[in-house]
Amino acid sequence: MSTELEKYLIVQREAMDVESPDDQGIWEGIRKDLHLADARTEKKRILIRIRNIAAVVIIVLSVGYMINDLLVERWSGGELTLADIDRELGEKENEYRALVSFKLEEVGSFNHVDNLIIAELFEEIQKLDIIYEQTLKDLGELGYNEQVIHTIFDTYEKKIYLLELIILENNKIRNYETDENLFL
Amino acid sequence: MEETININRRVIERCLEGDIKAQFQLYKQYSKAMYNVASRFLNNKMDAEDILQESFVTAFNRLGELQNRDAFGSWLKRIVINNCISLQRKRKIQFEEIDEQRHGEAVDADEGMPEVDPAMVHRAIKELPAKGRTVLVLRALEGYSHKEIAETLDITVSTSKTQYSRALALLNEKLKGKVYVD
Repeated sequence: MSTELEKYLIVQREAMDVESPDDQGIWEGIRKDLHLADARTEKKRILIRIRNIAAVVIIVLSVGYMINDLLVERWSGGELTLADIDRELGEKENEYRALVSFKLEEVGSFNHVDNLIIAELFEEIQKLDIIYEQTLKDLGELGYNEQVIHTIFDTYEKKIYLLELIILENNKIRNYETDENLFL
Repeated sequence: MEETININRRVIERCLEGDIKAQFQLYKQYSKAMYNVASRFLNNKMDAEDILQESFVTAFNRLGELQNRDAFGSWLKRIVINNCISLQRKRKIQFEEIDEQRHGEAVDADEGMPEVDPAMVHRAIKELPAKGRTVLVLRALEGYSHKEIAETLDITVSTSKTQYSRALALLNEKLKGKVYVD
């Protein structure tokens, strides 16, 4: 329903804006609020920048630590395998490791570790282990190096040889003990 | 008209660059109209001035979001109206409804409108009960549909229509009284 009054309100809409605000006071308030908002925005921006810088520093430090941990400590700490350098070398090393592990298990069940010859053989193995550790460190520092790789396999072979000697010596003692028992 | 729009666009561009003079220019251009909008909603000088200040601060801070720069005036008015309604809600103003007894008969569509001073109409609108006044201002002066009013004020379309009709009748009565008594 469109009445005369409604028509009047539409036509006289602007003419009804008869009041005037306190422009000076309101404008001052607006300026203050905008300034505060600007200051707050600036402060927020600075805080965000600081936070971003802190985040970057933390990330850089973390990554640096991880790299240090992975590349330096790990490589120099003997955790490096030849597989990290070359897959075939890695496979070869794994075969040696498996063989050493198998023979160590066999040796571990012996009762004659206090035998002089066997004790000396164990000492030799310990020396080889030291050489092996040192060679791994060299590998970490030098990367692929034929001399180093040769030394690593050489220590494995010598260790296996020494373990076989221990097994032989143990067998000899055991056979001797068996023979003695037979004669008794 | 085209020139005015271009000037406005330029002023808004300068406002976006943080030009205080341009902000003041925009403020001066719209302050009176927006103040009267707020004043009709709130019927309180201090509240209307607070809303005006708050609305301009919001507008200046969010000017970058305004897609159509030519529509600054209507965008600003939306902000003012929303702020007025928010203030009414915040203060939990109990909207006093206009009942049948208070406004008497519905407005006669054919009744002629006497010559009335717009200032008097403005004052008469402010004297209306809060709910009816809000609906009347939104509908008759700001061009909201009853659906929009219902959504804005969280009332039904039917309530909006009823309140509008009653407010209009009450305003008519007030004006008649003023015209004939004065």
